[in-house]
Amino acid sequence: MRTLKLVFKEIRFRRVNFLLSLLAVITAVALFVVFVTTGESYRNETRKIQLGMGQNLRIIPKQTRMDQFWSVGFSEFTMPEEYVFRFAALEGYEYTPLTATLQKAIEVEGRRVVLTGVLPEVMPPGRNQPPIMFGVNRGEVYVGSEVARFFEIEEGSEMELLGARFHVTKCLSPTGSSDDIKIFGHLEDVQTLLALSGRINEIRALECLCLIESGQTELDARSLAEAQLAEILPEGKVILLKGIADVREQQRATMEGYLGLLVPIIIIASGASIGILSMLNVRERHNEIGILRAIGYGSGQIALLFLGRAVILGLLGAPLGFLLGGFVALEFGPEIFSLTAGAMRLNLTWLAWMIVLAPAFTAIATFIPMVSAVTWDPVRTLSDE
Amino acid sequence: MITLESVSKSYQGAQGRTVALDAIDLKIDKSDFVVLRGPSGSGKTTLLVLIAGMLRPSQGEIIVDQQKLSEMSAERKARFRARNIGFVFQMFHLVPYLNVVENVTLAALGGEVDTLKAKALLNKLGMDEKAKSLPAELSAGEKQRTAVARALINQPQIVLADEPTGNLDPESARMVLSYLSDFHRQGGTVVVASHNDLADSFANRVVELQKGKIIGVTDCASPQSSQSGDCGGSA
Repeated sequence: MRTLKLVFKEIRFRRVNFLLSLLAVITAVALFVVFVTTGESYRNETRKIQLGMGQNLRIIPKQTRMDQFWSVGFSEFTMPEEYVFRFAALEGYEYTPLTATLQKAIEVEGRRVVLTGVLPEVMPPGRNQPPIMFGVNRGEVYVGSEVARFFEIEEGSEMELLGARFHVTKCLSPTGSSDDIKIFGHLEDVQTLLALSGRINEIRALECLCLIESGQTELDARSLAEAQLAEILPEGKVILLKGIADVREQQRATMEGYLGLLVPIIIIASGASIGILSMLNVRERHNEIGILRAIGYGSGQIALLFLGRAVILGLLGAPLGFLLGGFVALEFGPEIFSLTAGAMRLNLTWLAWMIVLAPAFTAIATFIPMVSAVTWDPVRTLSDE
Repeated sequence: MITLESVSKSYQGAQGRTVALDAIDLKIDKSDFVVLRGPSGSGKTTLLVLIAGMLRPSQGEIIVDQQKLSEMSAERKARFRARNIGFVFQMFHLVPYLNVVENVTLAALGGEVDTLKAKALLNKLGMDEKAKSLPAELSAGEKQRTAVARALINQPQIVLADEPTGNLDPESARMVLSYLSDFHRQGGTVVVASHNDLADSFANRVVELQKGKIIGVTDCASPQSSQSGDCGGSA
């Protein structure tokens, strides 16, 4: 009789044990999926909240006077746009993401507004995630709430800026910051309007952990960053907001530590449950193992009976656990992570990984019971008589 | 067919060393029907299991069909057992989730052909109507007949039976022993460990074991055995 047929018949016969084991696999996979999905949302949420607090690294033109910069909020000078890409290519800096802007105060019908050109976010190589900040298309503008209110601008209307017409895509909600008096456009559009082609006046790096490693003091980190960036960005000046960087690093470390602790505990607990249930299964099948041995089944065939059962458990548990975990994450996650609710999604790559890893996991969890079955002395079965 | 040369088997347990078999010398010829008799703990089951190659003797050599078991790997012994030896147990040891035919073909080495062979065998043993039944639906006698069919499916040279009638009523016991006797008459070797005197009546030799030693061998063909009654009544 084929081994697989024997495995399926045994599963059907001892379905309670199998269902309990399957439940353990589903739980492990589901919790893993929930943690991975909500963990990613937690990071996005944190980044979005932090965006309101400001970036932790800002690069501005070298000749900027800081009294002017802090009083106005942007530099009156410019530096090459290409600096964004030089920074992005730099190794040893961790950040998500880089934004570049060109800002200048202009008069619109006698009212002062800040025209802000925004470059689409630049991600570090190999990282792919939803954008944190909005991006503006060419020919379109996003209008700050105060500007919209004063000029009575509505979404979908047209407006004129320095002789060019733009489509108003969005009127932003009040933020209680200088963003309320800004008009955001695509960087290239703003560069054209201001006759500053290829120039920007600020680069911001969110969640930048520039050279902050254990053993380095705050001063070391700042001076190292300044020295290194000065080399590749000679026209730039670095403002490192170390305090915020520390808080962010702590938040991230806490979250990763939390996941790093919980995930192994869940995996070990589930593995132990599967192992115990498999051991019970082996104990229940001592007579069967004894007779199989007596009629000529070898160790390999006996091992296959248990390994086959474990692999079927994993193959069934992986998609079911993924679906359950995905449902829980998508159903309850948005209530917890309201800022990134729309961006919360299941990563299907994890399904493929689960289909590979879950059978391996159940096979490992079943290993000791399997060895016990393979080494079970059939004479004990016979002598029990 | 089966030769045991100074075979000993001892176990190391919590309460010290237990000698299950002590320097056994025994020769079982092809076409022998041998009954091993003796009280519980006399070493009958250990002797059967050693002949089947499921245990290694602590000392001595076992030769089955001119092959030394000590020279075979565990996997080769498993294959050898599958081809040459059929086993029948007191507790039947049928796989509970397989029906009668599946239990019989469990031991079979081939594919579809074995199902037909199993059905023919079950028919011969009067089990054809129960072919699709699960073990839980069978009487003790039917379970043991299924076990006999499983032991015979590969047309082995040897059938080893450990208390095959221990859980059966006299009628079923007689029926099971007569199947084993049929196999014996067709040239097979049968070794039965049994308390039941009925088994002796089918045997051509009775080996008496006590505390791991052979204390007597009775040749049932000899006139003395008939007079002493050591080989039981008429089969």
